[in-house]
Amino acid sequence: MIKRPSLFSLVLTLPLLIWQLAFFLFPLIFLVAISFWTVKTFQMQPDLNFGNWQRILTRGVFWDAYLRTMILATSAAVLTSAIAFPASYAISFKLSDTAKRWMIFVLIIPFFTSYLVRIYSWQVFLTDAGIINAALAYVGLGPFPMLNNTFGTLVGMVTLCLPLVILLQTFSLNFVNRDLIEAAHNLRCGRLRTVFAVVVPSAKVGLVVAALFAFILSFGDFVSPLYLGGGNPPTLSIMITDITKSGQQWPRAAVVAVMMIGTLMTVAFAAITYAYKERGK
Amino acid sequence: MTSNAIVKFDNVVKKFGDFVAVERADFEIAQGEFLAIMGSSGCGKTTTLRMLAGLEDPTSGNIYLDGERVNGRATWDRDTPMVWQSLALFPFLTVQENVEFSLKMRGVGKAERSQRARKWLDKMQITEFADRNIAQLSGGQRQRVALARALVTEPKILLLDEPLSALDAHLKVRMQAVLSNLQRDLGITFVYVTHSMSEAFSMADRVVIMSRGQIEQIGTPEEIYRQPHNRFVAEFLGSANIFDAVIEGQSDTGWAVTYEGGQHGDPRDRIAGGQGGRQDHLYRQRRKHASQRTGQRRGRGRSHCRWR
Amino acid sequence: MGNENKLINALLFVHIALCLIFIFAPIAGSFVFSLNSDRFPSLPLGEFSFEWYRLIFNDPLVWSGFFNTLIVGLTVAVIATLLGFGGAYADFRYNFFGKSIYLALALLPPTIPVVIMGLAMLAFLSRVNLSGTTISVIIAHGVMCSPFAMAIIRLRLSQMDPDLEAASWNLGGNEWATLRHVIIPFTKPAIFAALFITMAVSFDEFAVAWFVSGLNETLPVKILGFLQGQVSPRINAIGSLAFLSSMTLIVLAQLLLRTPGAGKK
Repeated sequence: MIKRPSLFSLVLTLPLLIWQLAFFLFPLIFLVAISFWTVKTFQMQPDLNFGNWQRILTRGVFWDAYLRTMILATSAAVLTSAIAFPASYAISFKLSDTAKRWMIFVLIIPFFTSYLVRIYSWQVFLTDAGIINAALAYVGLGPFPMLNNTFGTLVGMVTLCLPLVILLQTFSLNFVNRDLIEAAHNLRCGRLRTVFAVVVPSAKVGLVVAALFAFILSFGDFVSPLYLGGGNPPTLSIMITDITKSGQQWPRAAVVAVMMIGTLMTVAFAAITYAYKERGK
Repeated sequence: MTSNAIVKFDNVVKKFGDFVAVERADFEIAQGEFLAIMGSSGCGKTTTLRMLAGLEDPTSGNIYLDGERVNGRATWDRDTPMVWQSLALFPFLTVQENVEFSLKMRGVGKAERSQRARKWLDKMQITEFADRNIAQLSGGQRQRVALARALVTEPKILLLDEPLSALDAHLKVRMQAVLSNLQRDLGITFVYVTHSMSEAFSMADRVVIMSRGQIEQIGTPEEIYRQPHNRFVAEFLGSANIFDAVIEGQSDTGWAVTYEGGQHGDPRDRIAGGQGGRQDHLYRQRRKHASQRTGQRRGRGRSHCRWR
Repeated sequence: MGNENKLINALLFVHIALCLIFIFAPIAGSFVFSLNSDRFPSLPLGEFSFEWYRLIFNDPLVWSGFFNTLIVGLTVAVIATLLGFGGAYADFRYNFFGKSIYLALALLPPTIPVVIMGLAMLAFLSRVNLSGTTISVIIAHGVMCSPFAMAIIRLRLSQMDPDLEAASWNLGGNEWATLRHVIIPFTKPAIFAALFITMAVSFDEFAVAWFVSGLNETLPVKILGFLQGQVSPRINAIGSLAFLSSMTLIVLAQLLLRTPGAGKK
């Protein structure tokens, strides 16, 4: 009904737009810009210099870290999805509505606990003389090294992602048409086969999006690799924090950050395209 | 504009993008009239009502309210309260607060607000529910709250958008009586949008029949029933047998006609258009065994609706 | 149903239980460790002790961190909820050119890794001489929290009969009056939920705050400091207290969202 924007509509619509333009989009653009700046006598200076890019992209250390981060994030995404799926399936298909609601509430709780505190808690569980190894010692096993290695890092990443992935998977499974499953059973499709031939394809978009979120979270996480993985050799996020906190070489950190954003956008685009591919046909 | 018209639609067109919702509305509504706008869903009847309420702006043409051109005037600056299909009662307010709402919006003081709202609660016989929540009321009670809320400013015109469609059949009939009596008592104009022929024909003084954005016919229920302007209206009213015939003249009970096969007949009603000429459509040829029973029915047309 | 398999169901429920144990072990662990006298807790657990709580209560740096967190959290909650309300209403009510870009801009911040957000914020805010201030943390958290507020309020608006707003206009309320007397009362539970939840998000955010806060550290940044320095079970004590306060906020938010429209007795 309203054609020209009224004062009313502007007052409600614009503040968020201005805030996000000024404090979200602009800083990100600024980040790309400073990746071309130079640092002289500990001061950043506007420039159009490809030196930072050249320096970072020709370093073996960067590409090692890049590869390591990719592998870690991919493993975390796959692992979390695999652990989450049976749980999401059970929540969505086997629980009563009340139990479902409670389960969802319970799974929201971790979002409001400090990730740092949980990671610290894992340290106590996982150290060589920690709770888990002590428990294993009672039955004559171990000790197993669980801290400062890939295992530790993945424990942290799964801790970070699991509640979110279960929630997203459960929501998408809730939308799977129940009649399809009965139809499949009716057509003598076995229980397990029904899950993979009917349930998974029907919920594909949600499952892919959940895995994508796990990838994004793990890809950018610096806490698990640092405090559970030992931090050495570094991942990309650790590189950024190291470079940033140890001096004024922000342009080089910006190069790493821009590479990360580029990678995330590519992965996200590929995942979403894949998720919707056969659906749209 | 005739002297007693309260509403005038002057060549009003409403488009949503390429879609023409109302093609060319051109009619008047008299003071104190009960006008029904009737048609199937998507015919433009609700859009017509919303333009009158000021919730939509016409694409072209003019709307006059009480002699004043009201195009572009916001709905909150008109006094054209509406009763909604969903009723749209405020769930976070009590019954009394709902009824007081438009007085509050107009800056009426608290004491007067309460007193005027009470009067309408009384009139609608819902005083005992004044402090209840909307969720605690039955369908019929909500209906009365919606009416009281719309009428509390004592407007000259009340707009109703399929207000009875959520009620069950039994309650519908009762509310029709309530609405008819209310309109007669208050003497104000009701504009009533519905898809139901029985609602329109039983309550309205005049009926507007719309289809695909166009007004097909305006008239009293009897006129529309007896002399539908065209085949669409005849078919829309339903349950009729329609034959092509040549009209020879008037007979004692209706029209003397000759059918295509050469047989003669004397049907009572016909579709308007030709005057005794050739190739007119013949309308509502009764089956032989039905003709004796229905022949003498007269009145406002409502009793003729159901022919089997 | 005839084709349910009891064994498979039992295994599935065991799996859920294991997932929950995995998720809640570190949370429960930090509670237990915070009340344990050992610096490096292991089996068997040491004695019950309030030592770590006593230490943090006597630490002025923890208190200053707490007050910074509180100031930031309260301000962010109000700002993010106001911004989110506007965004939610814009999405609910209007169709305009570039709306999908508007929505993307409004909702994308949580998908950007916090280190990148942190670096971008730091670079930008130090350029405008705001880095190292509490304001910079508020700005950054405003960006990160408003999507949550927007989502919560948008969800509530989608439960509203769209005729309600039009009915109010029709009854003589202009857009402002309708906002005040209809939209806000209707979304009130969601507004409070948004306030609590954005506050809770801000309370726990450490990464971006660490980048931009300088000396005005919030409590989570303090924890990060503890983690980097000597291992200290004080983290558990702070974490447990923070968890309790966050949970209080969340439960309040839940209670508000569960009884919509029941404002009156």
